Amino acid sequence: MSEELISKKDLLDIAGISYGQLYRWKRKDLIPEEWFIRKSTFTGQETFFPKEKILERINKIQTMKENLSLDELADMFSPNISDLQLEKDDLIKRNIVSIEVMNFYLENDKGVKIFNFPRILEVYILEKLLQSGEINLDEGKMLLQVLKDNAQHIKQKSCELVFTRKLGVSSCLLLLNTEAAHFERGTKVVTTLALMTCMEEIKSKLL
Amino acid sequence: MGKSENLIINGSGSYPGGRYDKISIRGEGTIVNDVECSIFNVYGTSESVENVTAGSVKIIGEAEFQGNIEVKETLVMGTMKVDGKAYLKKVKILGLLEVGEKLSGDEATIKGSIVVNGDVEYERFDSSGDFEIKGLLTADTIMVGLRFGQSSAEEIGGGKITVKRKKNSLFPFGKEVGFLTAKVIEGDDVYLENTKADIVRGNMVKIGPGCQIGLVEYTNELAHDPSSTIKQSQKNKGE
Repeated sequence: MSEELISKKDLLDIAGISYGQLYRWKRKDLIPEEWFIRKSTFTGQETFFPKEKILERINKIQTMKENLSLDELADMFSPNISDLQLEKDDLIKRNIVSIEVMNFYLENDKGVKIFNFPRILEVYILEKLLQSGEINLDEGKMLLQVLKDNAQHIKQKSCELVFTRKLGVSSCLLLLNTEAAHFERGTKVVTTLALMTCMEEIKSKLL
Repeated sequence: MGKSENLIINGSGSYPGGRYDKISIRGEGTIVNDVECSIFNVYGTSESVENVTAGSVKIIGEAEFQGNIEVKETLVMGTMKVDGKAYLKKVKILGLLEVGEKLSGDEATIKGSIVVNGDVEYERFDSSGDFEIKGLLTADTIMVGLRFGQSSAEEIGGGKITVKRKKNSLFPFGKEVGFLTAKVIEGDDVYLENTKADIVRGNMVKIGPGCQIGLVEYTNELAHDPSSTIKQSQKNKGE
């Protein structure tokens, strides 16, 4: 804990923001609770922040708030990304999905071109597995089916996706909060993918 | 998904959770699992053991929620107690609300009382009742009308903070006046009456009658009613 701290007053002065803004961002969870460090000083109680982190975060908020609403920003910073929505082109631009995979996804999922987080996750997983050559297009369809059918389970729990193949027949399943899974002899586990990790990867690409 | 069923408890009973359209409890009801519904009305006594998500909640009797609760519109005329976190988007309290952890939402109107052990976060917080907040009270606009009793918060922060004493409309001749206590009050635009605070920080700070303030730090302007005491004040260096 030797990082440099900055008092709230100095922060407002340097960043040129108001109390109202700072508190609004705090309410929207743009600034994590842990960064508010309360200390007693000779004048009374003061709040301090880790200087580098807070300045970087405020900088990010100020540059991004022109394009995104506060709620969208909040989704980006917080682990809870339920309301995030992006356009098809955004996803391609941010290197989350390649054009080929996006087209394949849209062929199979006749949804609109706006992506909420579950759909971003689906298309991202698809991209990941197709690009690594671990699955083929038909298996990709199966994968999407599994993800779609179980969308409500994916949301909350720590969830793992397992892809297996035996004698050329492939299968795909989701494990919810499992400790271990064992398969029949001769089954080849093609890949296991922790969905939490995928979500984090997507988020880091969005930032 | 088909249309959900209603759950109506007249008398007493214990029911599982799940998804309902309307829940109405007239006697004494317990719901033992997570529950999701569009309307949740309590005229008697209710107890929910796990989490509750509802479109609207109306408590005329007494309700206890042992988990977390998330509601779009809430009206409490009786007593509502939440042990966990409460997200009450739009809430009106005429009775009593007690929250064990954080209380948050968009718009709060308090005419009764609230007791919150954690933080309170709203966009608009309007109180003419009284409150006891153990954490931080933050909102874009905080309007406090002190009618009676003691209100307190550890910290208060936001954009515009207005604290005014108000005549008691029911007993206009009573002598009792309300008082607000907080350690720190921070806002862009702060107006205080009948407030006791260690530190007040803001751009525009107006200290009205009946205040005891330890330290005021202001950027633009400080106004000071002669009947209030400010031990120390300090102007921040402007940009």
